[in-house]
Amino acid sequence: MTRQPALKRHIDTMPPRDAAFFRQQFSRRDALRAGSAVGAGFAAAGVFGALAPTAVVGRSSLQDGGLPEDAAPPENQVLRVASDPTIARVLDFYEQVYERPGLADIFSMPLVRLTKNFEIVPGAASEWSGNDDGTVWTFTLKQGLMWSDGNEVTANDYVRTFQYAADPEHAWDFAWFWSGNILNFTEAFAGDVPVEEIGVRMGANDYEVVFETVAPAPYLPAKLLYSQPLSAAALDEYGPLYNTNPDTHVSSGPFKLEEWVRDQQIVYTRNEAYTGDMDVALQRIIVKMASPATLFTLYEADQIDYMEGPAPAELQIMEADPDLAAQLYQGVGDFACLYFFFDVTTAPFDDILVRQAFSHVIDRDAMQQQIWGRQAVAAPSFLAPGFPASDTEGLGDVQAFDPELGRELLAEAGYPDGEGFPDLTLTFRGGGTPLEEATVQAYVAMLNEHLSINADIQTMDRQSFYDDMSSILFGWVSYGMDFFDPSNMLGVWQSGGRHPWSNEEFDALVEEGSTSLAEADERIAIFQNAERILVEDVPAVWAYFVTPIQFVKPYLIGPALEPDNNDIAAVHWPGFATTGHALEELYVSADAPTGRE
Amino acid sequence: MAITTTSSLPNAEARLGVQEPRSAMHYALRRFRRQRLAMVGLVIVTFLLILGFGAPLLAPTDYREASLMDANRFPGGEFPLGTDTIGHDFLTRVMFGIRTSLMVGFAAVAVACLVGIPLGMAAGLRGGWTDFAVMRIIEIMTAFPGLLFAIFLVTVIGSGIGNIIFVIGVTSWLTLARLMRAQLLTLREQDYVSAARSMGATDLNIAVRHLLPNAVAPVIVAITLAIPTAIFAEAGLSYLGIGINEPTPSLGKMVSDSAPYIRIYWHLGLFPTLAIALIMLGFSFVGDGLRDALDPRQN
Repeated sequence: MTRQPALKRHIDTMPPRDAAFFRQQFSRRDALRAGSAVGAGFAAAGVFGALAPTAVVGRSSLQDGGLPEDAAPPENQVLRVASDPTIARVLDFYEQVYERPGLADIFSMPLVRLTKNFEIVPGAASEWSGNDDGTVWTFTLKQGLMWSDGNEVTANDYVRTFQYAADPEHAWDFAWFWSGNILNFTEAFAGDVPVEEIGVRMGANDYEVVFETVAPAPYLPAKLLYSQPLSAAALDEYGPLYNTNPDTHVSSGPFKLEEWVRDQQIVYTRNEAYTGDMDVALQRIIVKMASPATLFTLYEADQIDYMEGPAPAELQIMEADPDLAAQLYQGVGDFACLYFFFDVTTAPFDDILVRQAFSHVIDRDAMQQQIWGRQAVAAPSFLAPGFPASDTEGLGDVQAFDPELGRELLAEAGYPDGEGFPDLTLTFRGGGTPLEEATVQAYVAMLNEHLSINADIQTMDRQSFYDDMSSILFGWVSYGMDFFDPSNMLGVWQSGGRHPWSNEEFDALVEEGSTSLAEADERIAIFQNAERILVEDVPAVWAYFVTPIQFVKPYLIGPALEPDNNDIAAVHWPGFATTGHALEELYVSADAPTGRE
Repeated sequence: MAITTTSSLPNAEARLGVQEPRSAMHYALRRFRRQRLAMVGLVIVTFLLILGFGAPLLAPTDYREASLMDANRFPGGEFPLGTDTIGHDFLTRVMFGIRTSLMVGFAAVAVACLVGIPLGMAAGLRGGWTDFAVMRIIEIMTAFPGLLFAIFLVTVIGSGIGNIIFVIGVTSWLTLARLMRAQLLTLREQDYVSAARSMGATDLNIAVRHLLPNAVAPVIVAITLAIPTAIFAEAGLSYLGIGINEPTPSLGKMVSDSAPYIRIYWHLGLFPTLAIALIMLGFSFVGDGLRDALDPRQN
């Protein structure tokens, strides 16, 4: 198979999505008909449920029933990646989200999956449909999906998994994701109602699972990308951590756990009992535990086949060598936006003039040139280019670099030349990338240069940071999508969300956009109006959108690395998991070194 | 016949090689000066003190000043030590980093002295339950790895230069306390102490007037050697990202920050590492020299 050029098009040159795309992505009326639209031979696509038929993305160029002609033999179909050992504690999304290694979630199938063009296609569900007002969604499971312990995958596995997620004793770290969305989830997590009363229940038979939502949720099928179930039987027999031990491990996904040596490596091998439709060439996956700082060394030493997030100097080394440059890919990741945020309820940031002043002294062009390079693009607003309802051009002037205006605004706020302005502490979450550190340091220098404001940077461990985020006066954080819909990204800014900023008009618009029956263009306009309020009220100074760099060994090939509809070639989010496509669209070529372990 | 007068006596003493009595300090200084490494260390420390504490006057720019468009310059010309990833003049950053290290080193050891010396004195002088209690505290604290305990404290009280000084100070007083206790246990049995006690001197009076002056030499040595240890602890904490807060320069943080860039921008790691090494060497040489000079019995 011919290798594709590493980078087809940079995200900042990505054209606006055309109207047809958005109609496909946004039409809620179609979404409610999704189930009936799904037919044999088609994979339904679309963020708001299943829409126009879309070809299943797979190894279409491969030989039927076997490995491709240019593939290495099965014993060399090994993928080696690395992961931070300080994070890895569990392997399941519904156990703990922020304690999983870099490659997890391959032991069961979510109801829906995501293609590299961010289209929703069936996963464990063959079809789904919503009621007229979009508050009740019924998913029909494919029959014959089996757990490795011989039990069949049924709706009960999904129901039990969601009940476990809502269990306050479990203290799931991602509970906010379903709070206020699935009926009674918030109440159950607070211990006010039994978990059996949440809006996830068995349907008419063992293959139907029904979701009830608090409000119309046309985006629910997209959001159910995160629906990889735990085994109800294993939960009962071994408890929730059954997947951390090969002896108690149970899988209905394409891989099973062979070995987990703490702080050394996790080994996944093919699950012979897998009966799903993922056509995977890889036979073995080795996740080596290694500090992020050592990834490039491992990559150079051919100890791993794939890595993300190189340090700036490492990227320069790769770019300088034509052979290495061919191993370089750049994607859009999860459309994450990184930004400086304020506690707008506390002085001095309760004054919008101060916040506006801060927003006009960030020189994104200089940062782009000197810090970010290809690893990020400037973010004049919150929604990244390519993400639905993004309006970076229309909002580009709101927080434009204009230090003179910044000084005027600060003077108007009562701090001419920064006089009388309190010294600040900018709270930085631990574990930030070099790009983040340099960006934050540069912005602090710009505050001093342009506004004569002194700020020092205090690093806080990640857990404390997220626990205390709503009370941090001035901080730095990121947010990337959990599902491909503006209601997800903008929803974090709604009142009661992750920041204390509150705006009734914004709340109403996001709510309207999330539940609206309007046509696609109108819905986009609603979300764009909401984002304009957000950007103009400056609860945050937007810095950059991540465009993650990946290094992929030349012998790792397959459709996953071919350009997507926007001509971007990379392993797209969510990467190597059953939620995404990469596992079945990559294989090891015949010219790979043998004996890779 | 001339009578020999007393005025001729000094000449006679001189002829006989008899000299004015010299102080212990004089002999200590003489011993110190004879040690080449100690003198090299003194020169290094003096140089670093001038460079660090003179940074506000001597450095080319303010340490907060950065020109992003000049980022990642290699050493030479306008920037003798180059610039860092956001355009700070690196010579300025290294000078202020030395200043930070020295401030932390001196202040943290001062905190350690304030805690360790009184506790050691109390244990050594009073004995009994006081000694028992102090020694148990020391043993308990010794059981905690110093750096891990410091990390724990920083996590609880937060980073920043004041907190770092406090944390390093309260985790490094053990040696001083033990040393002071051991000195007093020896000295308190001396005849002159018994004499003072028989004349009605109080414990405090005996401690301050008789014991402390005699115990001070090894303590000075310990203090001198504690300074580079404290500086290294600060560099370690800052390297881990929980030490001095940016934009205040810290050599340890500079080394840490250089890691992702060092394969191309070598100067970002080299100069702060050299500075740390010089500080460690300088103070260690001086400390060793002082030990040999003040307490020759250990030689």
